Order: sequence, then structure tokens, then C-alpha cells
Amino acid sequence: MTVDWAIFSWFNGLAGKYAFLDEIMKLLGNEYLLPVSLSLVLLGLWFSGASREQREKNQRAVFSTVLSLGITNGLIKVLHALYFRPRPFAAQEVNLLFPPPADSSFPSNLTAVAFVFAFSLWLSHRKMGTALFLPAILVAAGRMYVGVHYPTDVIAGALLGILVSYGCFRLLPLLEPLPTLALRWGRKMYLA
Amino acid sequence: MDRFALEYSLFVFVACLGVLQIAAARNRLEGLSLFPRQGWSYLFATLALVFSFGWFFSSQSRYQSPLLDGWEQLLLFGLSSLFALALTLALASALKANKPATPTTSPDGLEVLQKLTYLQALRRKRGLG
Repeated sequence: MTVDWAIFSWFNGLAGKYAFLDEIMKLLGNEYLLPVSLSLVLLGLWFSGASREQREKNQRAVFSTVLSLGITNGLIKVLHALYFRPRPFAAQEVNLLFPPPADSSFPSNLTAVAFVFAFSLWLSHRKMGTALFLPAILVAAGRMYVGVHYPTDVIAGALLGILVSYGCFRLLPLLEPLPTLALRWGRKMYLA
Repeated sequence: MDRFALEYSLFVFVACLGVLQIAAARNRLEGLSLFPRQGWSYLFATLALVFSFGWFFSSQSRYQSPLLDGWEQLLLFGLSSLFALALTLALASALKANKPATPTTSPDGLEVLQKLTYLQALRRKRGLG
């Protein structure tokens, strides 16, 4: 038995024991809850800030996060096309709480997205970013709990999300004057 | 657009309407606020978020594996949030059409919406206000 399978079995072994915990993990491991919730946080962040400088800082963080999300999604599509790893339920009997997904298990897309949000925001807003690591970790655990990912899938997803976020954070100043022009246009339209 | 994409867009649209009211109330953005009192904005936001999340996630089909991939989600979220913003700005302008424009020294940016509605800001820009 591999370490990967042993850790997966521990998380997945909890499924089906407590109906309430199952429902929470299904919700956390859902493909839509976390991406929509955190995108709404970004929307709110765009309009927040006590001063123009603070708001601009927030809006640049939104740019960086959206750019990271786009690149991460693109990379995962490529990785899924290049390498197909069967899901855990294809190898052995597991407690599957979701209808079986058909795409590659490696890396976990949802975990990568969760870590993009958390790490991108952590780079510019330490408190908010730190708070978002909790749902990101819960999502990663939730994906194993519901039986759709191995630990290595979620670890790879988290690392990919963090690396891309860091890259985009560093890349954004190199994209000047595009972000500044976009913000200037937004201000002219009273939207930034 | 298939049914699921439409439902996802509607969910995001209603949730964005709620978040925009929170942003309006927290940052005192008159031009984005649909209500005369902050408390009403928070109440509306709470109802919009509870309703949209409750409705969307009450269906078991939401647990089926990706009916929308990441790119589609990103695109639909962007479009739905833009529609929500456009509707909010238009509604706030219409609801406060009779309110006299408050003078503001800010030439541009969101801070203009702390004093003016979006329509008033556009009219001022064109020298009509």
C-alpha cells in the first residue's frame, strides 16, 4: 500500500460515518461553492479601500488573482491532456459521495483554484489571504473525503496554484503600462 | 446556452447584486446604493446571498462533476457580474433621478460615486450636469 493510498484511505474512510460531515464535505468539495464565493470576495475587494491608493492596491490584487486563475486553468487543461491519471474509485472500491468524474485526477483543479485565491490575496493582503488558506485546505481535504482525488493530486494542485500566483504577482509589474492603463480607464468611467 | 449555464449565471448575478450593495454601504458609494439607508443595503445583500446560494446548492445536480469547466465559470462569472453592476448603476441612477447632484471635487474614480449617481457623473463629464 502506498503512502498516497494510505492517506487517501484515512480521509475517505471517514465518509459515510456522519451524515452532517458528509454534507459539509460535499459542499466544500463542490466545483462551484468556493470559486463563486471567493470571486465574490474579489468583486467586493475591487470597490473597497479607504483611499485611492488603498483601492488601487486592492484592484491590482484583483488583476493578479484573475490572471493567475486564467493561467492555472490553462495549465491544468494542458496537464490533463498530456497525462491521464485514473481517479481513486477506478482503482479500488471507495466511499464515493459524488457522481464519478471522468477527467484526469492529477492535478486537482479545484484545489489549485482555491490556493490561487488564498496565495494571490496573501501576497498583498496578509490577513485576508491567511484566512483564505483555511477554506483552501478544507477543499483539498474535502476532495479526498468525497473520494475523487489522491493526496498527491491535491498537493500538486496546491503547489501549482501557489507557483502560478507568485509568478503572476511578479509578472504584473512587467506588464506595465497595461494594468495602469486599465485602472486609468476604469477611473475615467468611475468604476475603479 | 444550456440550462445549467443559465442557472449558474442567474445564481452569480443575484449574488453579485448582494455583494455590490455591501460594497456600496461599506464604502458609502451613493451611486451604487439602491437604498436610502445602509441597513437596508445589508438586509438586501443578506437576502440576495442566502437566496442565491440556497437555491443553487439545493439541487443535487450541483454535485455532478464539472458541468462547466474553469474557463466557462470564469467567463460566465465575469459577464454576470458586469450585468449586475450595470443594472445596479442604472437602477441607482433611476431611483435617485430627482435627488440634486452634490458637488464633488473628485475629477474621476469611484469616489465620484460617493456624491453622484452614475448618470449624474456621466452628465457632469459631458458638461450637462
